[in-house]
Amino acid sequence: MQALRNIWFLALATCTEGIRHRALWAIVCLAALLTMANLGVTNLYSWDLGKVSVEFGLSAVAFTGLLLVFFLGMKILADDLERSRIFLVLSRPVSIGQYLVGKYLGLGMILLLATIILGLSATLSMRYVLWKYPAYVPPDFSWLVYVMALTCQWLSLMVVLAASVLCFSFASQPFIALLLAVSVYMVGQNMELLRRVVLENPQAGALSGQENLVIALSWIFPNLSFFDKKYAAAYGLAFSGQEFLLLCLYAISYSALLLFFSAILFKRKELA
Amino acid sequence: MTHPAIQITNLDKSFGAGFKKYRALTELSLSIDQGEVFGFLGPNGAGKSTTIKLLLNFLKPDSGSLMVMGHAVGQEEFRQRIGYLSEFPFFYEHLTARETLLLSGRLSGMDRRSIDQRIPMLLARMNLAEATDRRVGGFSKGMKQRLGMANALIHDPEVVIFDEPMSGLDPVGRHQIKRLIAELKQEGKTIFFSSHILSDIEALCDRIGVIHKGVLLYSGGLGEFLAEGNGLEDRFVKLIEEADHASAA
Amino acid sequence: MNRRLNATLLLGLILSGLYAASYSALLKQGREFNHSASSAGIWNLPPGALLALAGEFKGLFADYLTMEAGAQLGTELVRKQEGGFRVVKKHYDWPNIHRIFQAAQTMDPSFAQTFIVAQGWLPWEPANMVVETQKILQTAALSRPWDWQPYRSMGFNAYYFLNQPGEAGKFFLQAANTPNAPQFLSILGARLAQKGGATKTAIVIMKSMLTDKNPEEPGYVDILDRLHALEGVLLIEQATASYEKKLGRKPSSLTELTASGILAALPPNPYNLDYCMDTTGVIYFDKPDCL
Repeated sequence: MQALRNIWFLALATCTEGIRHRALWAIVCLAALLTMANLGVTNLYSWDLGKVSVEFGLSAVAFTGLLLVFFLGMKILADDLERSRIFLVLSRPVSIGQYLVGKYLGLGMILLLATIILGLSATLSMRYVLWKYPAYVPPDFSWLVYVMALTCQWLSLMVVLAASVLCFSFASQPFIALLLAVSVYMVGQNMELLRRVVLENPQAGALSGQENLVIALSWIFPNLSFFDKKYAAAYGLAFSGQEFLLLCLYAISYSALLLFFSAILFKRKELA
Repeated sequence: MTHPAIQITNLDKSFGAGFKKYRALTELSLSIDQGEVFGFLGPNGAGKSTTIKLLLNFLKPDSGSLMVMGHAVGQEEFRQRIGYLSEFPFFYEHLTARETLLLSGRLSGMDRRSIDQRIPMLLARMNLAEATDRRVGGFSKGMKQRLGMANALIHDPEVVIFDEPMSGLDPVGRHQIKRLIAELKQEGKTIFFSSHILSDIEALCDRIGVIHKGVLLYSGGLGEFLAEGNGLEDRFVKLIEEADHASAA
Repeated sequence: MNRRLNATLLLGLILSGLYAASYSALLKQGREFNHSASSAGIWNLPPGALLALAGEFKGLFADYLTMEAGAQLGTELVRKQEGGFRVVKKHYDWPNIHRIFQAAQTMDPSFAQTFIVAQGWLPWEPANMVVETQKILQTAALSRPWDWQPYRSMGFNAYYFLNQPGEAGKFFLQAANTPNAPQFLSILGARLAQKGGATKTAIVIMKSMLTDKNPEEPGYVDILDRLHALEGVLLIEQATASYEKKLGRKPSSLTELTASGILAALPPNPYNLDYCMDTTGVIYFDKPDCL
């Protein structure tokens, strides 16, 4: 019970610390302005204005989220180590696992807050565009699918955050952890593409004969393209509740696994 | 029979590997009784902070054992019984002093009521009452040091470990810390602190340990250390020089 | 103090001057450079590389690429010294523009702006890229099952540029099959399909359309009439083929066909007009002055 309390208190402290960070608000304000710029960008197009508006809004959320994960999130983790702030916590009866999970959840709460703010900002601009140009609203456009797509965006960022925590737990320098985390993100975004290329075309160039390796990699790296529902939201395509729940389960289980390994690796770190 | 507050036995610690391997501690053994004020002194880089970090399980020893209040470090939970002040206390800059102590108290398993009672008392004791709701990022070095003290004591631990508690403080600040340590001693707490400021050691400690290049050169009563009639500084410097000559030979 | 201030100001002026000179020289070079530079861009990357580069921002990339295509098309205006603008004949790098459209579709095959703008430029003079446009439209059609426009455009291109009325008819009928498609598409499609010798295909598609429609819906009767007319035409076409097989030549008229006994009587025409056959042997259901 105390373990859960520790995780919650750490998450709350991390969230409070992050929310009061000026960098967070600079990023969020910039992104909010960007989503309002949606109105101007949409006017550059003559068709499918609804899709342009929806996709622009969701992309702004995705981009901002990545900035928060890589620059704010990893900075908070790195500062803990480099400035010996971690001793403040680990001199208490708090395990490494509780520390990492608490930090992760705190940063996740910050990401959730940013997603909600940016999602609302994007929604306002989208609402205006869709109202002004009703002829260009996709026939099956659904606000529910949009909210589900937004949620999937947040889940994707949580997976990337978990991967960042893992990289942080074994990398010798914060910059190396950042590079590794960015690499994991890029591989994750293209994992499905790679998997399909190899499975559908066994003679695929340099990858011929490497199907098993690619399949193994597709299980190790996160398949982030599953969470990319911008297309579905933009065109009002079907996005079933079952798929949504499976995505939630995948995100939670994969992130939990990464945090589990993070704790094991972090215990081996010398906190000199 | 009461066990020692801190018991270190044959502690070895190295950093790096191969040609770059550096031996930080060599067969370090010392014992600190409950209620004692133990001063751990040595030149810069002697191994004082390393010893403390091993005690707190921030580092893993190559060999040897560490016990705190009868609990084996790294195997049993003991951190609720110790308070720690690091050499350079860093805090979450955007949390206030109150929020920092609240977090520490909660992580130590205290209930909200107890924490709410202790926070104003500790901050007043540290002359930080007017800064209770200010963010730590705006604190001076001395204020952070005092907040660190309050942080170490929030859960009323039996053993307090201070790593260079007077470092970087002005004379007023150092006086306040010295007074606090004396008060803690009267409360029956065990105090283990490292320093290279000999006058502070002389004023506060019952027993001392002298470490140089990872080797414990002396552990015992302050009086016996000074028995040869020289001042603490002279005795200390002579001991270090003898150790250097012995290792050169 | 004054001397230091003067030195600082002088240094600032020199640096600003250097910066202004170098930047304006670059801009001037850039204007000349742009014409050749407009063919260099990420759209030249293979599709797999484009998708990998775009990651989760494929939609944005598609939006950018259509903007790029738009920038490379259109008119170019040059400011006149005396004021106003004059239109300059622009050089279009059609293969490059086509690659941009392809790249945009790789990123987002459903984006309407891509296929609509492509249709507006590529099949026409001087681009003359009808086949390429059809491929773009085909991709759009498959990715936009709710939209009748891609097939409609394919039908138009097949009829107008490729002179393939039969194919055009098929495309129009496929367009007619999409939800909310205008009524005229089925009628037009059937006419063109039959004209192009694709009567059977037209009948099959029209029958499939009727199964999805309620008899009470507007247009149901029109489609039914057209179907009956096409069935009548098919019957006559089959009889004509049998006649040719038996006697080694096409019948000179429908009267000769019925007189031969191969076709007992002409089928009923829902439009109350006579069926007729032109000199090339094509059967019509709606050409009242056909001899």
